Amino acid sequence: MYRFCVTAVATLCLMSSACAVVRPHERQNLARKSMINERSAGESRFNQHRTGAREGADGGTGEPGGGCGCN
Amino acid sequence: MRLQLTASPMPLLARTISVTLAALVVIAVTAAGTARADGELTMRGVYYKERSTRVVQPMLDGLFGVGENGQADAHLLVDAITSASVAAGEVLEEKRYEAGGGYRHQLGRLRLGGQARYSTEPDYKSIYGGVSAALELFDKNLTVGLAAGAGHDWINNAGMPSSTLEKRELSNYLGSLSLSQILSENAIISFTYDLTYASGFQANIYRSELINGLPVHERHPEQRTRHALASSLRRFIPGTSTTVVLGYRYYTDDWGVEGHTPEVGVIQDVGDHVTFGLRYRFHTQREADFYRDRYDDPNVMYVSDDAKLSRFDSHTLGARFAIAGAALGFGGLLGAMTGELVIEYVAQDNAFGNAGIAHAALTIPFGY
Repeated sequence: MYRFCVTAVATLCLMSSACAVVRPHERQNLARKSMINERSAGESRFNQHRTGAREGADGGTGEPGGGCGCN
Repeated sequence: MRLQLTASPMPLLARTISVTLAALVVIAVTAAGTARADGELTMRGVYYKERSTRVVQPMLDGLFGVGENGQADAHLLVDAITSASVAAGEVLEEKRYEAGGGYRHQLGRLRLGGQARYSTEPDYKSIYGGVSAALELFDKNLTVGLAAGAGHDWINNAGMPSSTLEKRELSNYLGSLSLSQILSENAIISFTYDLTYASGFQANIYRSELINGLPVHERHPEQRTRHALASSLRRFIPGTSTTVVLGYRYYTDDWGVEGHTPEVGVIQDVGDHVTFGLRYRFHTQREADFYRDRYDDPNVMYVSDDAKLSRFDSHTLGARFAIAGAALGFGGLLGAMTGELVIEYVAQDNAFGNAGIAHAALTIPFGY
């Protein structure tokens, strides 16, 4: 748990240092699929399902796991 | 995956899925020729193979624009699982059907959404519902998201007809916080923290461990609290049209499992219509506190033969290729369609053994 807290604090510190303001007309590269998520919904869902059924660690996607008898 | 599986006639949901798939494909192809793109339909097939399990998963995903500010999504899939039971000396088969959908609506800087999912197989049914909200701040440079959901599973041992029917239940709850920050014109970083709590039956209803020569049913704790913190950094290099992706996830739970999962990927655009990608993912975890390679006392509180609760490392190497019809000289509908191939290999030092995965997908934009 200690390491988890350290990781959380470190990420928040990193966030607070990110203060560059990028205007809407400067975001054409950020709108590329590769900069959002190159994986489609189906591929992401399969990957999450597979790792949830084959690894004890799960989550970090904001999406629910499980939902099957493949444990 | 399952130790004992049953063969059953095609259920109503399977027929419904088949008819719906066919209808959606016809609608999408018909509409795509004449109208603007208000949505897309993706047909995907996945093949997964490991030492004793093979999964074939056809699926259909739809995205639909709703008015000026809404977007709906829906998916249907079938898991066709074939598993070799070394102990029984036979091949077992099972199918799982899943349907889900969601809706998101933009209200100024706020985006609200909801989603639901239902999954059924002969001995396991699951339902899940969730809501989400995302707020764009600082001229849309920072997005803060919150999500929450709850699910309930019904489990039985119908796959082992010779045994007395047992029924179990499991409830799941999810809370999630996400942050996404634009760092520059070519870089973005994001974080997601998930807190999940599960209460109920979390062992495998079929699995037993031999202790002193006697089979003892798997016994897991009935509560589990899980924390996962994931981060992702994406950097686009304009000179070469290359995107570099770095990711890391830290995981811990009150069963004692702790995991580290770094990932690196490169995505290369070739012109406007062709993309190549490579990725490497490493996962390492320590075992659950109660997991043992061998148990000596049949009266021990918890017993597990679940390989995913053991200590292990895994390496995943993947490659992807995507091409739009326009790259082949097609116009109109064919030019707008995108084909995709994904190949992955998983090497891991646990009882599951190594695995190979292949995806093939076709995406059709459409309007209505």
